[in-house]
Amino acid sequence: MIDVLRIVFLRDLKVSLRRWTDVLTSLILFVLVSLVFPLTLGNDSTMLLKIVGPVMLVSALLANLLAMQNIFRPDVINGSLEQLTLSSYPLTWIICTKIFSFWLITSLPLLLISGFIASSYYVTGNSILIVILTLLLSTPSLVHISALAAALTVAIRYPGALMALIIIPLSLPIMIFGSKAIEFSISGIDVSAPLYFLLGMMFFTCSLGPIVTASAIRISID
Amino acid sequence: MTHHNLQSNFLELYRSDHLIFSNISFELSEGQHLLISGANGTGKTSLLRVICGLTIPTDGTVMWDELATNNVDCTYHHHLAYLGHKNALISELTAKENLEYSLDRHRSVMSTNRILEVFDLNKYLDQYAEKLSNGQMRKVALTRILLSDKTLWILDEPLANIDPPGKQFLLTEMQAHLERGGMLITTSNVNNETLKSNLEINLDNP
Repeated sequence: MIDVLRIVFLRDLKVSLRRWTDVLTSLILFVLVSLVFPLTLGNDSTMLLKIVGPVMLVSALLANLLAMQNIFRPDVINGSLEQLTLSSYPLTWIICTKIFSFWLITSLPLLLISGFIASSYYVTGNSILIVILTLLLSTPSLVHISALAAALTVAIRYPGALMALIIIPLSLPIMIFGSKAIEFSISGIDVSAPLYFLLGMMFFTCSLGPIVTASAIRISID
Repeated sequence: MTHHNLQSNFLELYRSDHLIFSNISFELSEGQHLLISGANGTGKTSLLRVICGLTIPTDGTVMWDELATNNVDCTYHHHLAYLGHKNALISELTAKENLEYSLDRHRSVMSTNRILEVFDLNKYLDQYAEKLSNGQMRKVALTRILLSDKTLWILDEPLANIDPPGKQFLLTEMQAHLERGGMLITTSNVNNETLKSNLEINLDNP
């Protein structure tokens, strides 16, 4: 069982690295969207500090939306996903592994770079760490929500708009509480409440997400 | 090896109010070969997908060792190797990596080499799957089945796109699989080129 998950994990990492242009596109989108504001607003630091929270989360959401269109699609086209559903191992765990390796490839670089981007918004000190922590807690939820949307729409040829319609309402709570966490930390208020909420959302999506996604895949490849 | 059998009872499949097939029943035991024949578009592939559990039939059941295949206790998927029209090769991986990353590998390195030799794949092992020809991709996919050590092989037109020596080898391998007590389900629209079948379902005349 663990062996099989390791095979799926390593295979997905390798495939994602070979599709590096895809990975890079979403990272570039994240950087571009989030850097537009400091570049256009100049050195208006109060304004920038006010918008940094929502901007970081929306950029992460957009990057995620772009990247996640390709989590299951190539595997459905070449038929390897139907082989995974026929294997004697639980599909939920296989899907969970796929999502985790996808998160590593698409969201981890984004976390690493977010500290630098935050500093261009005049965010300083501990708040930079809070920005990174917020993204660390919110990206797993975003990835699981988008994986569900991707699984539901995998049989559709051009799923972009439909995927966005599914993902955006579901991820609004994460956007709101994530922005609040960053805003609170900048204005010196205790950030634990929104971070606890994000943590709760993360456990919720990580535990139920793969189960629902696996059933959605079974239906989609029928 | 314990004795296995596969049984289907009155399978019926509708696709958006259009009847694909109905009243398909068969019982397959070890060492037997079921051939599903019929013209294009008569539902051969759909029937295979129903048998292996990818498509849920409108009516009827598939039973493995007396248990319905969707029963939690059913060991069906431990014994099943399926190859459909799609070869399940990941184009970003080389032929070798595609073989290495398959989930079930049981047979020895010796037999791997022998299969690769006969299929003339050794030269192409380091090529990306997308660079291979259709026949070569099919051969890599079939190698994976031949190495899988499963009891029941469900192969959708296994001989399509394969060159004569490859076909010959595949037929002897399938024969050997049946003699080992394996089970085989294949489809074909050309009857005479496949090996002798014990059972046949013809979808042409419903």
